[in-house]
Amino acid sequence: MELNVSSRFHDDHTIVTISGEIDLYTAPRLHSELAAVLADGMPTRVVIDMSGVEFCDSTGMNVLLSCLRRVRERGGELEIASPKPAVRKILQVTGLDSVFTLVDDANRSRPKPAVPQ
Amino acid sequence: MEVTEASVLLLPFAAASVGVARRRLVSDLIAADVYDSAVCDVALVISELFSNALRHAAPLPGSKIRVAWRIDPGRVQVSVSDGGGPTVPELGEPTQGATGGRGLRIVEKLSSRWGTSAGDEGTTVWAEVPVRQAEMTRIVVPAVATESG
Repeated sequence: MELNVSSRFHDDHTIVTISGEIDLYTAPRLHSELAAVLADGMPTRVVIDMSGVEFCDSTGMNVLLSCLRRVRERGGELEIASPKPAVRKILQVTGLDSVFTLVDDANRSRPKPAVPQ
Repeated sequence: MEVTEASVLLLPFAAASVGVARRRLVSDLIAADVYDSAVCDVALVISELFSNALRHAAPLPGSKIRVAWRIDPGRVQVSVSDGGGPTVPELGEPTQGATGGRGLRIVEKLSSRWGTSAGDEGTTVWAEVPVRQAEMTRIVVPAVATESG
């Protein structure tokens, strides 16, 4: 398994669906696919559906962070939807779970406000 | 569970080898009944060590990189050997949104200990990751699972 990336528009946002494994080998392709999505129509709200990502390491996180930065530079937002436990783990270990907005469902038009537990 | 022999892979010094090594290790861990969450931890550690070597070091002779692991009860030791580089591996201090500098931080968080050794051949970076296996967990930690879904 390597990496597949596709994108589509849904209501007010662009959904990028990633599946496979993100590491040093596949990250450059993810980077160029995301750059193409951002260049195409300048979406201000990007939701990255990671429900099909089996693995992601810090190289992958760096790609997502640079994407986040570019979206925020123009006042947009980037959300990560439905990460599997392996992806949740690296988000948690790196503290990046407080940098990215995490949502349960990529199709929802607006993210649910965080509810403290 | 019996202590396994160390597995050693000599792979091309190339990014495509990261996934090759990781998938082999993961299948060994699953065969050893290591819990899923620990499999994720070890997979992440080997990926970070391997990627660091490719980024910062020279290959072993023949454009190779060597990765080895040993699965013992309660822990997995992984190591990556390369031809050495201009710097020694050290922890980065990434700011919250910075890209880069996180690899060894992740290794440090997920391992009980890690270190480096340098020899004539090159440099080895190793880490020991605590793991729980199915048969051990039943005894040590009863009923920690939470209902979901």
